[in-house]
Order: sequence, then C-alpha cells, then structure tokens
Amino acid sequence: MANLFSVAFEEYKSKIPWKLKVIDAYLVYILLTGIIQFAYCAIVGTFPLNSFLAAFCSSVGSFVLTVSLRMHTNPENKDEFPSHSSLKSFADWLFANLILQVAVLNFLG
Amino acid sequence: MDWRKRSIFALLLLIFWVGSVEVEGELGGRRVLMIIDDLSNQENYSTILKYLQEDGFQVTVKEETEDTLVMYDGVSFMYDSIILLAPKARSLGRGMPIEGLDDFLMQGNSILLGMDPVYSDFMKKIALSFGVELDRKRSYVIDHGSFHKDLDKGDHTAVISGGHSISSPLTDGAELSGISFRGVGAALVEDNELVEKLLWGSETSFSYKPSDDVVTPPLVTGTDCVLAAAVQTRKQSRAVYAGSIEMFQNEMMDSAGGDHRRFVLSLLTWTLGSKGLLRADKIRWHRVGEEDQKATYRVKDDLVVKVNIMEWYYKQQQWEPFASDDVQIEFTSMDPYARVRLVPQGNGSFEADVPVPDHYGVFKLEINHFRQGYTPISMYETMSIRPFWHNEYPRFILRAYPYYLSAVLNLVGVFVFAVAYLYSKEPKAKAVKAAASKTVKAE
Repeated sequence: MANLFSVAFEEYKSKIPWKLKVIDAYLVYILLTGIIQFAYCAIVGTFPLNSFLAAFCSSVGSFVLTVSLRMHTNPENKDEFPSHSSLKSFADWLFANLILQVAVLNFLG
Repeated sequence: MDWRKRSIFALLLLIFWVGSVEVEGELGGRRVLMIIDDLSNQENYSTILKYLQEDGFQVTVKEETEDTLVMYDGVSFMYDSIILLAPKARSLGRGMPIEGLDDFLMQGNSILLGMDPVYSDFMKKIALSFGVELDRKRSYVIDHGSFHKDLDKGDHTAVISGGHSISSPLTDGAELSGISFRGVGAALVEDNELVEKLLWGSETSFSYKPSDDVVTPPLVTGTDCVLAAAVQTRKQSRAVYAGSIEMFQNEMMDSAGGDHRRFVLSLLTWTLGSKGLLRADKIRWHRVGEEDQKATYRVKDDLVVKVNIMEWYYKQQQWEPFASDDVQIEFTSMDPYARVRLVPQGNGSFEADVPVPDHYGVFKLEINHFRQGYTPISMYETMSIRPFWHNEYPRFILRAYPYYLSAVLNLVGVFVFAVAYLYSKEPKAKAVKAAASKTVKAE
C-alpha cells in the first residue's frame, strides 16, 4: 500500500509540469481554508452569515477558477482548447479573480 | 334578498362606519319624544312614563296622526331620543322622511322601536334598517312550553323569554328570568354584523299565526326567535328594536313580575344612554425612551402605545375614566403580527408595550373593541415600518474575525500564486535528481 502511494507520488513528481504543480499547491491551500471555515461555522454557528458566505464563497470561487486554469494550461488538453495560450488563460483567471474578490469584500460586512 | 333591502343596509353601514370624527363633549340630552298609536291609550304607558320622568327625562307623548308631530325644524332635531311605540304609523310627521332617522342616529341620538304583530309597511322598513327582519303580519311568537299563565289568553302568545344579553351595561351582569313578551317574531338579518340580540325566545318558541295550523316552516324557531335587538353606532347612539309594545304597557309591567319590570326599565334607560357609552381618543405612540411620535419606525423597535377611553356617566352628566382589562390593540399588516392587552392606568389612559415585528411595510395600530352593551370602538392609525439601514447593522463582530482573516489571506494568496505561477522555474538539480531516480527505479 505504502509502495503504491510512493509510486504514484514519484510519477506525479516526474510527469507533471512545474506550472501544474504550482497550481496544485495553491489548490490544496484554498481547499484547506474552505474546510477550516466550514468547520468554524459549524462550531460557532451561522450568526454573521454574510461574513461566512463571503469568505467561504471566496475559497470556493477561487478553487473553481483555479481548476479551470489548470485544465486550460494542462498540455494533455491541448487539443480541446486549441485557441487558449497559457498566458491568455492566466489573464482570464486573474480578471475573474479580481471581480470575485471585489464582490467578496463588499459582502464581508 | 332584493335590491331595496340591500340598499338600505348599504346606507346604514355607510352612515355607521364612514364618520370618523368623534363626538366630543356632553351627551345624553333629556328631551324624549314618545310616539304612540292612539293618545287615548296613553294611560297604558304610565309606569314607564313615570319612571322616565323621575329619572330626569322630559317626555313628550305624541300621536302619529297629529299635525303637531314635528321633530325636525329644518336645522336641528328637537328631541334627543325617540321612543316609537306606534307599529301602525305610516310616517314620522311632517318633514321627516325615513332616512331622517339615520341622520338622527348620526348625531348621537337614540331610537327605541316597539313592534306589534299588526304593523305598517313603513315600520317594517325601519325595523329592517335596524337589521331585523319581521315575520308576516299577524304572526306571533308562540311557545307552548314557556308562557305566562296569568297573562295568556289560551293561544300561548304571552311567552316567557329564553334568555337575554347579560352584558354589564344592560343589566349589571345579572341574569333575569321571567321576562314576558307578546308580539311579533323576527330574525336578525344575516349580513348585518353590527346587530346584537338582546332578548330571545326559549327552545320551544316559534313564530307563526296563532289561528293557523303550522304547515310551512316558521321564519324562526327556538333561540333564533329575536324578541329584542340593538345596533350601536360609533356616534354613541343606539337603535333598539323590541318586538312587543305590550311589554312596555302597564298590564304586563304590573303582573309579569319584578324581573320583567327591571329588564324593561333597564332596556329603556340603556337605549337613552344610561350606561356603556364609550369615547376613545386617537391612538398615540412613541418609542421606549423617547417622547415624540413619528410616522416611521424600524423593525424590532419597541413602542409604547397609549389611548384614552372615557365612559359617559349619565347621573353625573360627565365623562369618567373607563376601566376594563380586556381592551386589546393589534399591530396588523393584512394579518395581526402582535396582539397586546392594553393596561388601564386608572385615569382613562390605557398603555401597552408593543414590539415592532421583524417585518417591514405599512402597518396599522388597530383597536377593535366590540363588547355587548358597550359602544363599539373601531379605529386605527397607520405607520411605516422600515428595515435596518445599511449603517445600522453591527460591524466588526468578534466572531467574524476568522472570516475577515480568511478573505484577506485569499486575496494575498491570489497575489502570491500569480507571482509564483509567472516567475518561478523548476529547480534544475531536483529535476535531474528526479530523472535519475526514475531511471534507477525503472531498472
């Protein structure tokens, strides 16, 4: 079993391009913040519901946008997104994220 | 029901409900006009006449056919109350149409209408405008189970009533028995909510012609047999119907017993405004801790609501504080959101703490105080309830600090990721090492 995981990890380290690894690290970070917030809300209650929703949606939104970025920039998906250069994908991601964060700060109250 | 009946109701309802100006000042003038069918029968009413005169009323007795029967001089009414004991009358004297009675009531004056099985269409119309539908002419309330043995002539029409309204203004809350009645049966008009039954027949009573066999269903039976009824207006006036003029006459007053006498005299003086006349001033309110009244409040505010209710004391001829612990106020917007009991403060002022519901819109503070024997109080004031303003919400709640922190960290995270994504490169050494280990593994 342990051998299986180490093989999978070695495969990941060797086969996945560096940029995708950076994306994956960010995804793990975002996922953790989302889980922590949800747990916190489950413990203290929903009282400042708008604050919880804003912060939680910020995590979820960022996660979704970043997964999109990963799909666009993955070399294996080149055939599916022929018109997407990796730089254009990143610009899309940045623009969408800015709008998301503005909305989140507005709603955080 | 034909259109004519309906139009009379509509007119009466309009008159009773449209006017919102409260009658201020003195009430209960003492000029009473009594109209009877035949002046030679005046002696029949000597008991009630004597009682009214001793009570301080100036009673003028007139006959319907007299030329001198004038109750309206073109400017004002010359009497404060009318006792109509003339079931056969076809008019109310010169210059007084049937609609004149509505004006009469609107000015705070009261009417007692006595009926008999032999009545004119004119009088039937008046009874109908009071919300009482009479049975056919010459039909009596008959009761084979409950009749007065001395007064009855064999046809069981001198009935003993089954019950009466025991409201405190009418009989001081006492339940009287043995109230006799010989007269016409009647039913309350169904779509008139304002008329209340004062006296009704026993379980075995019904309304029919005594000479006929009962072949068709009677108009009314049992306790639905209305013997007396009343409509009270918000102008502190009363329109009272009684189906029998004989119950006011000496013969029945003398021989039907003390309870009968007490009830009839109570009914008379109650009609003339002895008790239960209420006057309510405008509803006032302010927020707890404030003094002034505003037109707009916020959801979840706490209001103090006040209203003054006075009762007319006719012996003292003045308004005195009304004391009752069952006056309620409602905070409504279509449906009541809060219903609170008003606490009497002793000086006629009633007060209640009313919480503003967590719901915004146009709300009414509404008092609907309908109690038997008392003047109905039905009034409301409107106010707007607004939601929290944007700057009225709490900010920087301690509990929400993790969320703030998380949102800011996400913002920073976007920046850090952007830099890392654009400018970082795979470390060369590691890449070589990884490739090397891969070759080792493969071997």
